[in-house]
Amino acid sequence: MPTDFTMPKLAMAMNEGTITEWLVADGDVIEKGQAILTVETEKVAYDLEAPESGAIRILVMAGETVPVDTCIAVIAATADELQAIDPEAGPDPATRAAANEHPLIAPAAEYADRVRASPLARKIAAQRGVDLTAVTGSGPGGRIVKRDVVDAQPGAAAGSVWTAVDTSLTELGRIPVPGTPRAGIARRMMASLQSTAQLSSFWESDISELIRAREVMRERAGAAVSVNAFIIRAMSAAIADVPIANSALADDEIVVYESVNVGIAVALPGKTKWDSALLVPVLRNVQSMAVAEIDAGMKDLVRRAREGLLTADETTGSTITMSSTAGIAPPGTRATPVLNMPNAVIVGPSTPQDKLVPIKGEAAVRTMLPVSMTFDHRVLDGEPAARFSRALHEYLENPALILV
Amino acid sequence: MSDTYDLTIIGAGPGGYVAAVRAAQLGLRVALVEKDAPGGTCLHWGCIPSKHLIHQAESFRTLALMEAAGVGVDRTGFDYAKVQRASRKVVDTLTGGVNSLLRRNDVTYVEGRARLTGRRRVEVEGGPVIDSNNIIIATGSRPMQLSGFMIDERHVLSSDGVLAMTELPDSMLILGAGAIGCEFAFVLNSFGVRVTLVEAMAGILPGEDRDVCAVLERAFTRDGVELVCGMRASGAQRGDDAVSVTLVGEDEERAVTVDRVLVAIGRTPVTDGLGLEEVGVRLDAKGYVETGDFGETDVPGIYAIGDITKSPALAHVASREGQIAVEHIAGRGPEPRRVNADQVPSAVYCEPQVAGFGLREDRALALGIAVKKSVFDYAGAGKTIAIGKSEGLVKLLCDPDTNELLGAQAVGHDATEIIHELLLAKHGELLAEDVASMIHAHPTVSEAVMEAARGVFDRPIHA
Repeated sequence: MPTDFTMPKLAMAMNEGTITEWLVADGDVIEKGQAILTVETEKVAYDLEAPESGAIRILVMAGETVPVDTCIAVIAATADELQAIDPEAGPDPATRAAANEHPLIAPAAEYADRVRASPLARKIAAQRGVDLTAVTGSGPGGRIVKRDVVDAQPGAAAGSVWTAVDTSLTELGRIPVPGTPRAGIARRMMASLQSTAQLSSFWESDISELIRAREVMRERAGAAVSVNAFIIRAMSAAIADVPIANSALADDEIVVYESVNVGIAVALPGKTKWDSALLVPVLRNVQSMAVAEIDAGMKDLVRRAREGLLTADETTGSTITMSSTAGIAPPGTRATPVLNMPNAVIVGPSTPQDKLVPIKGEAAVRTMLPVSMTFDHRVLDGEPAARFSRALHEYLENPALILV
Repeated sequence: MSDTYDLTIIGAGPGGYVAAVRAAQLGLRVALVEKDAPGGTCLHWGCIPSKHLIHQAESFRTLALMEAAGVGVDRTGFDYAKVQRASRKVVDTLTGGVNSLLRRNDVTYVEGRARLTGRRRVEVEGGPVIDSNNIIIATGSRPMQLSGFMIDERHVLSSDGVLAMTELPDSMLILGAGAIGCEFAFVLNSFGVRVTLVEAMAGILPGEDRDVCAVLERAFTRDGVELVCGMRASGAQRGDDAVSVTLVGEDEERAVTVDRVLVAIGRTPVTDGLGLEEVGVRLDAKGYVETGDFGETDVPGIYAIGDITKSPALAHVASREGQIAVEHIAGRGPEPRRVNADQVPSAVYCEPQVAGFGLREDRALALGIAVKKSVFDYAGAGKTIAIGKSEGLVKLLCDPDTNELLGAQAVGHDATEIIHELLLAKHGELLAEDVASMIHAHPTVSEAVMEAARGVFDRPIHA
């Protein structure tokens, strides 16, 4: 029996993938484990391996974007068996390839295939200039229905069509959105704010001790350990105390993870001189790492994120996220980053500031770190959230507890 | 029965028993308490026996068609008691069906009168005390009383009494021309009873579209039903075997003497004697239970569905509400939270039938909602002429910008069936052009639906 080869779901947030290149030809005999195609998600490109040996029939051509679980190829045990497969059963590769030679007409057809929306939703979207690829469907099976289009504010989200541009104004330039990382960022941010119950709390932690420990480490080891590495270590310790902070709501269940995989938001330059991009590489299994190890892992991820060298594994599978809001908020103040779905918690440390603080009745200069924590109230309530933030606060103020 | 159930449902009508089966399917331990037999008003004293009588009435009418073809028909042996008995047999068959459905799904069925004695406790009169984490109240409704017309089920009947009646009177006055009044007017008139149908509002079926009602009014008048609209009954005098009813209009008063009176002015919720208010469930002045999302009452864990809530008193609404409540109790997804009123079909089963959903033209006018209207006459679909059922129409109201279906009504043969194509279109957000461009088999009554849809954005072919 021939086996279907489907677009795999490589990350919880992955809904579709684009086939950038087939590394084998239709009809080729392939070996199990051989890289057979390159797939690109919103985040990164990666190679997929053949699940078994056999002869391959390619059903979806390079350049096309298909939803997860779409059958993209069939693998038969032998070339003879492949011949026996009814060519009418799947799209004829030759015709599809030919269609792709006319890029002027291809996108429209592809657009219609890819977006699942009711006829009414399509019509309203066309009338109001709403880009359906940026709309999250709430109808049966995730279909986009009228309310989704009506709720999507045209112009508010990146991804909407530029219908309301006043051409009498002088422009600096335009930034394309569909098909760029910006479309993915817009979609994920909107989905997060529209489909989770976000609540934030704020506090200040005295990190003077932590800064001193960092100085000592620098003197001894000669290398500066980032404050963020301490924060990640403190998050990991706080998770050990309050495991529900390291969880995700998936379908009908809350999954509480043992692995602490920390997403680290990294700002990147955009396509033009005006815009920017954002990646969230994931530092895995932080629960068993010491501060220095976290620091090295984090710096390596950030460097490779900036150089575009991350693999799929390195941008998926986070269980909690840290997004430094330093820069968004001036020193001493904070901002609330948007939850990185499907995480239940995101921690947003800001820029520390030296402050006069009363200690035992005396004014003392202490380094205070403003922190925000945003959590998904569908997953955890105020009580465990408070225990988590209190634990995090304790570890930040008493670094001796986490320098093990 | 001392251990705790996940869910206890009071009332085994189409709301309660469907909820019980769904709950069992979702793995809940469920108890269902009923004071009579499972099936409720719908099965025993409503939809089901009345549909049988309507079907018999239609068959009786077609005898005239046979006579027109030269068949000699002898009606002398006609015995209404046999018709009535057959309708009870249908009820028994379906009651057995519901019973076995409950058994197969392991629903604990408890017979008796239930009362809440705590927020998590139901006591059955002469039976067990049931502790339950959740409770659904699904006790339904009973015929509404009219002052001066005390129901004795002899001279003055409720719908229950008409369904139990084994002998036809010569004449019947029906107070209230809603769905129940119209259906009995059709049945009794078909069997030769002289029917006077009285409605206090300006026309019959006050909830339905005027164009639609006009078709039914014409059919009733042609068949000999006397329609008295805009008058109300002010009092009755009972004789030995006759009732004299005084009807009062704006500037008119008259007396009508008939054998029997049917009071069909509506139904009223059964929420008394259940201990609801004692545990904190809020009722409004008319006795309806106040509910929020998922049918939940002010008391968390206590739900109310069906005729005791303010949604339309229809079996299919009760069933849907039951499923919504149960799925919420079982922790299923957050949607849907309640029945979408725009997508509840109404259905009246006389001939011609009346069905519809969503926005009506008079409401659109009153609310200032812009609509595109398309009306297609049944006669334009050849099938209706072929089978002698050409009286009727399909009416669509659409959004002028998008052609979104806002409301649809149909009157005529099989209207209660063909409405579902339009309801599916509404539910799936299909547009008039989607319905119009779908190939419909020829010849069918459904072609009238296709043509009406065409009329929304273009011109129908057969008009």
